Amino acid sequence: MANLNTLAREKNTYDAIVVGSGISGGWAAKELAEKGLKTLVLERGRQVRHIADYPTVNTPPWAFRFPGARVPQDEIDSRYAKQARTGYTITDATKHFYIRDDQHPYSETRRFDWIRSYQVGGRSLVWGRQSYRWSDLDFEANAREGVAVDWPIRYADLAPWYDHVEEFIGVSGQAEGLPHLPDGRFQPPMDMNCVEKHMKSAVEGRFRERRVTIGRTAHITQPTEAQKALGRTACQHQNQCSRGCVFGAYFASNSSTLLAANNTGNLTLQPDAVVTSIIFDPVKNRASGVRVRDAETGDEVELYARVIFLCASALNSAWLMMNSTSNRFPDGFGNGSGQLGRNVMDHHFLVGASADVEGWEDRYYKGRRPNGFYIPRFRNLGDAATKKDFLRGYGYQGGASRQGWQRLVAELGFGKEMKDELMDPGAWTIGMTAFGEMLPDPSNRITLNKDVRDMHGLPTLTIDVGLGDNELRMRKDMQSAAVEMLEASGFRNVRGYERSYGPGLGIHEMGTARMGRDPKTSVLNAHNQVHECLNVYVTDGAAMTSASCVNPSLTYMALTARAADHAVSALKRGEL
Amino acid sequence: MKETHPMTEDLIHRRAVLGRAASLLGGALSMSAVAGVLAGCAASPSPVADASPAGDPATARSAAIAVIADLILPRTDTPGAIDVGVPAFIERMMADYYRPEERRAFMAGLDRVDTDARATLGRPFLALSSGEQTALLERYDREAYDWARAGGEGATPFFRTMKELTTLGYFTSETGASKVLKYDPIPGAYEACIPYADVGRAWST
Repeated sequence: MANLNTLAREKNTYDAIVVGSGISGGWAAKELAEKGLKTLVLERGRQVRHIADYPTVNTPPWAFRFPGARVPQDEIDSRYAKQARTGYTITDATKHFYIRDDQHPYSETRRFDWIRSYQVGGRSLVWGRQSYRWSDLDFEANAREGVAVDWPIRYADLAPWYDHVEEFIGVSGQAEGLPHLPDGRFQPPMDMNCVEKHMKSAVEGRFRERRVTIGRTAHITQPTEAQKALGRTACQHQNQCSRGCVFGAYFASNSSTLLAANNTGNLTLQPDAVVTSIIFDPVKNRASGVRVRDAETGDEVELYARVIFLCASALNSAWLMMNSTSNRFPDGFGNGSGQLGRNVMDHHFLVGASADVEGWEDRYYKGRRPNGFYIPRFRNLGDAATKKDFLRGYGYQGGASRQGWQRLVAELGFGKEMKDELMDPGAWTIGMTAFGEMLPDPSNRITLNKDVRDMHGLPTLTIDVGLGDNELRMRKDMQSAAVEMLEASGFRNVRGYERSYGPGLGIHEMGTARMGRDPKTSVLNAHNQVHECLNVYVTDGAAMTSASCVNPSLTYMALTARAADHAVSALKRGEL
Repeated sequence: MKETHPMTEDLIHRRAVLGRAASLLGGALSMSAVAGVLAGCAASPSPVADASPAGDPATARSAAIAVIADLILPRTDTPGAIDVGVPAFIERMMADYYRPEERRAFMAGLDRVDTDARATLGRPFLALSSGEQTALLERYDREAYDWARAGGEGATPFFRTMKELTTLGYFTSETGASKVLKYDPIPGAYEACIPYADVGRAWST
């Protein structure tokens, strides 16, 4: 970022500043730039150019240091102790897209798995891509049950923005007509295999309220003209998405929103720029800009704009607000409610069931589908029949496949017989994990830690988050209902499981600057503006007032596009 | 920011440790057996053997690893473990990937094979016929199987590690993954449910 000072001197004022370039920041950049605002995107991490900076995308399995691109334990322990907690993030194929824990520490009062990507594109390069709309079952839940505060918006407010986002990013999926999982603007769905189709008919035949559908995923299956114009093509079923995709087939900021924003001529993208605080102007009662530290030189500059979008991810946007104190905001920026940094939520998972499958030995597949089946929420839908002893619900994600060459190491026998057997695929197996909604709880919180500093000398976070009784009751049902469905499908050796889960491991952390109707109990208003400083918008996971049980990124994108539209209109009206 | 590779220094150290541990095996061994194995190994040089003068006991360790790997996945109408370089792969994993305690356990297992051969048949493992070697390994295979069935508590048996590494090295080698099994880097479509005969072999990935 050597040119930042020059850049600041020559042109340090923009129409809009966006902090972060991930899923939300990329959307803010695209929408603001397309609507004519000179937009500066500040990204704390390094540059990652689409295709050119995907170093392992053409590496075959045998060309890695170790098989499966695995990383030796010593290296994990010294650099990636927390980032590796997923079991899949830190490999030689992908580790360059994650931060090093020794450079970016945080403290855990209770276990919290905070998986981060500091780079242009953020976690949009490595996300899970499952994309589901919320419904009013979700938006009305807090008000209906008297939990936390009411969402200040409903599905009708967001529906057109879901349309807008889905058309641009490309979401493949199957319309199901479920009121609690609204259909979107889908590209053609991926296929379920024969074992999954069997389970679908068995489950839907046995349980009236349950549906098995193919995952709705942000992969192009039939590119639009607009997608082709950006150089994006249909999914090639490599299933190595988290290395980056040369086909631009799944949605990432790098291949999509940032390119579109750049095409307007209104975008300035500045990597290696760590935003350390928001500058507040007490006379105008507006934010005037941000303070930025050069990640390489440590130099500090101030950059100014008429509107600021915080899209740094839920915990880091809250960190930035907590680190932005002034006479007006002694307890953190816009924190008159005291809710900043509280109500941390995730989706709790790693509980479900798996089974062996007899039959279909003469059937196989070609291609590696980057997707699985999805079983939408079927608990607590508002009727007596689906009511359970916990609030909210969960959905399942899973898949069926044939066993590979790894399958015989624990069995008896070796030599020619074993080798001959491994030439053919093994039996089919099937499994699923539930993703459950976590209730907002103000005691689940993050706080600023000035004693532990990161590689830039900045304060870090202390995280204190745990599951509550509602989640623990839900987890029992998440396991037993999975067992019930695999048994109803006639599968063999059905095994329920529950694995060690730490909040954050779902990588759906959210809730730290919630939206609400009342400035006394929430940080953001119905348009994602900070109640107490209207030209600052927070549109990433921090904004979430509750968690739903569906993957959240699509909703962050819709909220961001809606907020950008509001910001541009408000600027034109002279309100900001 | 420039990074130094953390493994480099460690790697040299670990190879030295492996060599020293190998010397514990020591003693008499059939040089003809070793020569035979190394001839088969020629296409895939062993880092340990390369670093050792001819006849060094470390060579015996390399030879035993190669013999066992090839008994686990022998040459049939497709290449065997030695053909695709599995012995060198196992040595590289032991030198560069495994931790010292895991490496020690593996070496102890390898030692036990030779000790058992001498105790029961009066000859070093490498001097046994393939049939005798197989019979000895079947004992370890049974132990590993029983251990897994009992829940897999405690240290992983040597033969389980050997079987895992042989399978892993074989099917993630270029030949094993793309010539023996099928590999398709860019499949294009996903065909969800087709006759197995249309594929004809297991996919490696």
